[in-house]
Order: sequence, then structure tokens, then C-alpha cells
Amino acid sequence: MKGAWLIALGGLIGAAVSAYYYVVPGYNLDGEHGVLLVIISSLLMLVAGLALVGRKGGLVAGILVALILLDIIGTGLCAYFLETPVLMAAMALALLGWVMRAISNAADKSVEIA
Amino acid sequence: MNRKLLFVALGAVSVAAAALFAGGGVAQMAGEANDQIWDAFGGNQQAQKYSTATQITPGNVKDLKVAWSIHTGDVVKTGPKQTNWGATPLFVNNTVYVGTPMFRIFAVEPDTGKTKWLYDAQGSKRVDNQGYKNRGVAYWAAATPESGQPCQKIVYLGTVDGTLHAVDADSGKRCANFGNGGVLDVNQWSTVNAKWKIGLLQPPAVYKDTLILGWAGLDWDYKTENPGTVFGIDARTGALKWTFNIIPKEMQDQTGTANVWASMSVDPENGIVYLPVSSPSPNYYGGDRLTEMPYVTSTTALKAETGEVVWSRQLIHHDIWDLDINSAPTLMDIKKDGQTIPALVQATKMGFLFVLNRLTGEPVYPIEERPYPASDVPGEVAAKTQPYVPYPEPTVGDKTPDVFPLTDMISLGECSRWKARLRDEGRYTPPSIRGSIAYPATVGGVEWGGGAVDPTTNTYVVNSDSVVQVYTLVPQEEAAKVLQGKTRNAGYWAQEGSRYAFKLQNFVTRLGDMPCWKPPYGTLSSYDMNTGKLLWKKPFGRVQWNGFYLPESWGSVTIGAPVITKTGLIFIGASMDAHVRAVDLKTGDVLWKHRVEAPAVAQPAVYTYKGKQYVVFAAGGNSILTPRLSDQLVAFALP
Repeated sequence: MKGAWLIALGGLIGAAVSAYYYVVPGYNLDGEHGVLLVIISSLLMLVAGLALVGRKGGLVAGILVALILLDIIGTGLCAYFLETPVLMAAMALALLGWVMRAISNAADKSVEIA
Repeated sequence: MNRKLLFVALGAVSVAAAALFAGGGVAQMAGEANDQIWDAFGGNQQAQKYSTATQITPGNVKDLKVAWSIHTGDVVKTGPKQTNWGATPLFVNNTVYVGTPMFRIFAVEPDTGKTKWLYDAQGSKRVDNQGYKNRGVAYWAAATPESGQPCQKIVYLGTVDGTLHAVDADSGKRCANFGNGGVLDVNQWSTVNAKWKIGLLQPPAVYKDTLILGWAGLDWDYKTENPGTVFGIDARTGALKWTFNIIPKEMQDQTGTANVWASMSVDPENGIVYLPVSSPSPNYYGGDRLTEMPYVTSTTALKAETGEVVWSRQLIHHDIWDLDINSAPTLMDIKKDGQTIPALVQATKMGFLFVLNRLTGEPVYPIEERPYPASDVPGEVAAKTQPYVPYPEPTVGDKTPDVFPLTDMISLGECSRWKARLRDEGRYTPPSIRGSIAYPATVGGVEWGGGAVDPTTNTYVVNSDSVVQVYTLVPQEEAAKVLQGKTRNAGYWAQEGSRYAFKLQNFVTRLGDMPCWKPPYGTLSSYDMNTGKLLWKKPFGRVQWNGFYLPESWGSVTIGAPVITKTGLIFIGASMDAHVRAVDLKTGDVLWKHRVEAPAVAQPAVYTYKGKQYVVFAAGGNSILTPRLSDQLVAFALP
């Protein structure tokens, strides 16, 4: 549960930070298409993270988890090439959430098997 | 404490240096004997871009901080009237002077950036052929000033509708004796085939009491246009002293331009001005101008007082690639075989460094005539041979860089398929109807900033681009559908009056504008001009693509130029990523960098004021490089 919230938080921070960079001049990222891409991917992460809250398993959750991982990797790479440490930190947070959720799910399954 | 001692010790040296670098009619003012000035676009009239300042060293450059930063307000970021600001500020007369692309002069305090006075040429409503463009101002001072009289020191600003404004350097008020109340209509002297008003975006060269003035035009739009001229005018009054006609009279109904749009350099000892002469119109089809025109695409030396030709050397024969000679030659005295040779280095879009005896025009290092491919376009006759400089090593290779596998893969083979359809026989492949690879192309090579030299060692540094473009000649009836009555539209230029219009494309993918050719896209090189040996060559700068910073090893296309300081530093902006950098002269390693608001597309000014060294960049940008434009003037200094 906490993992999904962290993913959503990572997405929220990512979207907010990249929106700031997109609008505010001085960082040489204002108006850049690459930043727009990150705003969209972060918002998707936020939505997907929220959609994951309360879902423990099932096909939808599995697809969301896979897509979120791709989103985190892609957005993280973008953050690296945009040279925006705050955005990279947000993606690290989302990744932490993803790992926490994976561990939590694995633990739940092992309890069920036991 | 050590700095104070250093400056006392350097006092005498500074005075001598100031005298040496003052050049032309620029007199060093009393009270600033310890200051290192920067009184011309190229640092001095010899275009050496060298500073004797010693405070900033390779050891402490990492500590450089913004000393001040101002915004002129003169910027248009989008649309057809967007600004292109490639000014190098001047520091002289205890003031930093800079021209803006909306034709204003800012005179600011050198240590604070606070405005002393502001002059408005009121040219912003009169944009003609060049749009909003400016490369700065020129400065002149009377050798024997008349006490109490204004305009004994003058700052000059050109506009793109052909007026030159003369302003008192102390007060910012127009000089009444110059032209008509301080404004000279230079356009009055451009009467032949006057398709447009001439653009004075580059400040004039200064020799004693003579200003030498070139101009910019449009050479892709028409076949016959204003023919290239250079004017010598009186610095005090603006009276015309002489005119140098570049295109022979008998050819003026077939062609035009071949003007001097870049800065010039001056040998103050010998009274010679050196002109980098551009290509004749129309730039990409020469079938109507096959007659030999010896002064076009040349470096030409004139007597600065009279305009008489001392020597001229054509560097491209029958140019059909728009490979203008586009930067002021850098003057230096080369030590070779036990002799001192008064020399110049002419950097070019072709990536050749022509090293010539500046008194005779004879090559210091050999120039060969090499055969090149013939044109397959009806009516066109490409030159059978072209000058080739094998040594010093050209900054650009002879063969087109290979297709970049990464881009080719991402574009699903678009790059390699496109290249296979084009004519590509390396350097000087003539433009064709099916499309030809142009490498080096109109972007260059070396752009209008040229190189810099440490005159004490003759270490020469130059940045260079590696850009592949595609040149296509289009029959006029076909082009008319795209041009729709205009002389330029959607990547087409009319070359009106000739058989073919012209289509220019960058060799990039349709989706995303990714370069189809292998990096590096730009380099910085250092040469020992006493031997001609290449000392180092490294990728320089970084591309910022849609916000993403690409690897340093790919380099960047650069517009702007380096300067060298006595302590072995190179300062340069120029890169697409809108960073300014300090580079180690010995190794080429980047020692410091700082983000500015747009690419600094001219060389910075380096000066010392009240014992403190400043490096000032105009971060204006140029739409050729990136869409990122600004009006920031920013100075760096040690804390």
C-alpha cells in the first residue's frame, strides 16, 4: 500500500518539478519538448500509482506495475539527460515505492502459501 | 596582497600592452594605465582576441562567479523579427559599451553593470534586410583631443537599414559633426541594383581617423543585387574618403553582393586593412557569373587610408556553396626558420587555415590547387581546381562523415536511404538538381568569430563546426509553387533572375531533427603557428536537444569564438547548450563552465578594471544555432 503511495508521490513531485522547469526561464529548460514529455510521463505515473492503491494482485495490477517500472526508468533517464537532480530524486522515490510494493506483494504471497 | 604586488609589477607591462593593443585611432586614456582594455570586436584591431590580464588563472578559474548580470530588454524570442545578438562588448574609456539587436547602445559601469547612459538609434521600426541583428559597436578616440569639445571619443553603432550612428563616448549624445546630426546614411552609396538597404550589423574597423565599413546583404534571394563595396570614411565627420568595389563593373548586371559582412582586421604599423570577402549572388548557381572576379571570396588587403589594393588572394574559385570568407584574419608575427614573418591566419568555413604573409599575400605554409568534381547542372561550370591547405591540418575533413548508426536505427534507415539518393563526392561536391551533400556547408567550418592567438607564443585556437547540409537546385517553375511570389519560403530561396531556385536542408531526420551524421558536431583546436603543428583537437561544447544534454564527446555546433588570456586560459561560449566555458590552453580540458540564458554567439570581452579581471559575455543566441534567445549581458570575476 505504502509503495503505491510513494509511486504516486514520485509522480506528483516529478510533474510539479518538470512543470516548474517548463515554465520558469533561467534553467534553459523552459518550453523544451523533452520537459513536456517528462510532465506527461510523471502525470501518468501519478495516476498509475493512485490506481495501484488498494490493488494487491490481478491482471490490471500486474500491467500497471510493469508500465510503472518502464515509466520510472524512462523518466529517470530523461531526468538524467535533462540534468535535473530533483527530478532524478523523485524517480528514485518512485522506484523505492515500486520496490517496496514488490517486496510487500512477495511477502503477502509467501504468507498465503504458508 | 600578492595580487596587489602583481599589479604593481605589471604596471609597466600593462602600459606597453595597452599601447600595443590599442591600435588604429584608439588612444589609451590617462588614469586607466593599469587596466587591460578590449576596444574592438576582436579584442584589438588585429583581431587577436588576446588579453594580458593575469588575475584569473587555470588554478583559480573554478572559483569564477557572476559579478553582475543585466538584461537590455532588447529581445524578440519568436517570429520573423526574432533577435540575433552576437555582440562583443568593448571595454575602454572606463566603460563597457555594447550594442543591442534593437539598435541601442548601453554604456555601463565595468564593475557593477549599472547603466551610465543609453543611446537609442530608434532603428527598431526600420528593420530591413537582416532583421534584428547586431554584433556590437566600434570605438574611436582622437589622437590629440581638443579640450572641452565633445566627440573626441566616439562610439559607433550601425543599423540594418544602412545608417551609422556616432555618439559621444562620455555623454551618449549624438556627434553633430558626423553625417547628418550624428547619423550617416551609408545606404546613399549603395545605388547599383539596390534590392535592399545594406545592413550595418558588424561594427567598422578603425585605423587612425578612418573607419572602414563593410555591410551585410541577402545573397540567396536575387541574381543581381547590391554589389559588394567597402567604404573608408572620416571618423569625425563621416565624409566618404574612398570606396572599394569588389565586383567588376562589367559583371554588375549578372551578380551582386560579394560584400564584407564580417569583421575586418587592421595592421596599424603598416596601415593595411584586411577584408574577408564573401560570395557573389546568387550563391548556389553560378552559370550567369562565369567570368573571373578576382576579389570575390578572397582575403584582400587594402591601404586603410586610400582603399588601394595591396594584395588579394582568392580562397575559393567560382563559389557555388556559399562558403563566404567570413571572419577577420588574425594577425601575428610568425617565427619560422629563424625569420620573423609578418603573417595572418585566415580561418574559413571550409576549415582551411590560410597562413599568409600579411604584407604580400604569399603563403607561409603551401597552398595547393587540387582538382574537384564537375557540375552536372546545365549552364553551371564548377571550377576545375580549388585552393587546398594541407598544413596546418584543416579543422574539417575532406569526406562527409558517415551516417550515424544510432540516428539511422531510430529513424528506421531514413538517413542512409536519403544519403544514397544524394550526390556526394566529398569536399566541393557541386549543388545538383537531385540534391548534393554539402560538407563543409554554408554553416561551416569556422564561423564569423574566427580564431584567437597568444602573440607571445603564436598558439592559435579556433572552434569549428562539422555540419552536413543538402543543397538542391530547383527549376524556377517548380520552385514557384512553394515560393508563392516570395523570395524565400519553406526552405526555398528564389535566386530570382537565375535558372534555378535553391532548397536548403539540414541532413537531419524528418521526425525530431536528429543529425544523420556521426559526431562530433564541433571541435576546438589549438595550433602552434610557428610550426603549423596541430597541438590538440577536442570535441567542444554540448548539444542540448529538446532540453536533453547530449554527451560531451559529441561536441556541439558552435557560433562564437574563443579568447585567450596570458595565464593560459581560453574563454568561450558558442556552444548550443548555452554554457560558457574556460578551457586550459595547454590541454584543451574544460576547467570551468557556467550556464547562461542563451548561447553566447560572440567572443567575450576580457578586461581589468580597478585591479579586477572581468570576463563579459553577451548571451544573446542566434536562431541558426538554437531557438533559445536572450538579452543577458553577464560578467564573471573572482570573488
